[in-house]
Amino acid sequence: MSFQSVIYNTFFKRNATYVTAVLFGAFAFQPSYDTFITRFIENNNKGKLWSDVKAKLGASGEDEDEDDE
Amino acid sequence: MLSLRSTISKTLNKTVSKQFQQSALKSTYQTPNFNKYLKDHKDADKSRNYTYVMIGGLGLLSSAGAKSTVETFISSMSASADVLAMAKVEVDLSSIPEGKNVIVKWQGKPVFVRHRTGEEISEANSIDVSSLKDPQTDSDRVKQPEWLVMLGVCTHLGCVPIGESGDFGGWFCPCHGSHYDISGRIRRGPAPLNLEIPTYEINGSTLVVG
Repeated sequence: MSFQSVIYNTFFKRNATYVTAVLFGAFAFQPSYDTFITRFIENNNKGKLWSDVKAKLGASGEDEDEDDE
Repeated sequence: MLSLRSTISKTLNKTVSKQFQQSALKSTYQTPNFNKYLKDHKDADKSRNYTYVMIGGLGLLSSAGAKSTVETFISSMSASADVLAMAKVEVDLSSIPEGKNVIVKWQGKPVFVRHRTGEEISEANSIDVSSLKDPQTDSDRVKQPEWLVMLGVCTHLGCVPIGESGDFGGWFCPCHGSHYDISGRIRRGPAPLNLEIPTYEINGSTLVVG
């Protein structure tokens, strides 16, 4: 049994398992896609995010910190 | 002459029908050789899996899209953050001395908070419940006996009763003269029901109404 035939027999052979896998995949897809995109954007904008700016402001003065609380 | 022609046509008929029979049995079509286009190590499961993954991937993406569309509509129906912030009110109970009333506004309505004395608690419990217009024991109306929390809206026509007045030491509605006792139960007057109890929670010394 090759890897491909195992995949075929477990997921695609029966329509019930195929549809179930697709629907579960849709539920699993959303949060993983969300975290992936968030991580990508945060990596792309390192140093410009509010969390980075806030840390910098906290070092210079305490006044700014009180505003967001 | 006639006989010759007939024999010719007979043999012709024979050959035509024989050829037709042969062609019906075996196709003369030359099947092209597709070997050039086939993969060297052909794996039927692999190509089939590829197709299924493509179709399933489309189904996955469209169902995820449908799910998020439905979620958008459903989440727009739930209360927004500003409404939720207005839906609750917090009261610091440690600032209310014993035997005092405090009125707080909750969702546009007054809420009476009374720190009852031990005397008042025993008075509220001493009443024969069956004699009341709206029978309710005091323990049904309070979570902690020293704290009485109720909606300050007269159950008759919606006036705001006055605290520490009336014939029963509780509240008195000036509009049509309904008397409520120290547990907020209707004792005399036109009001049909006891003062309503809102949903609330007491955590230590803070009261959260709503």
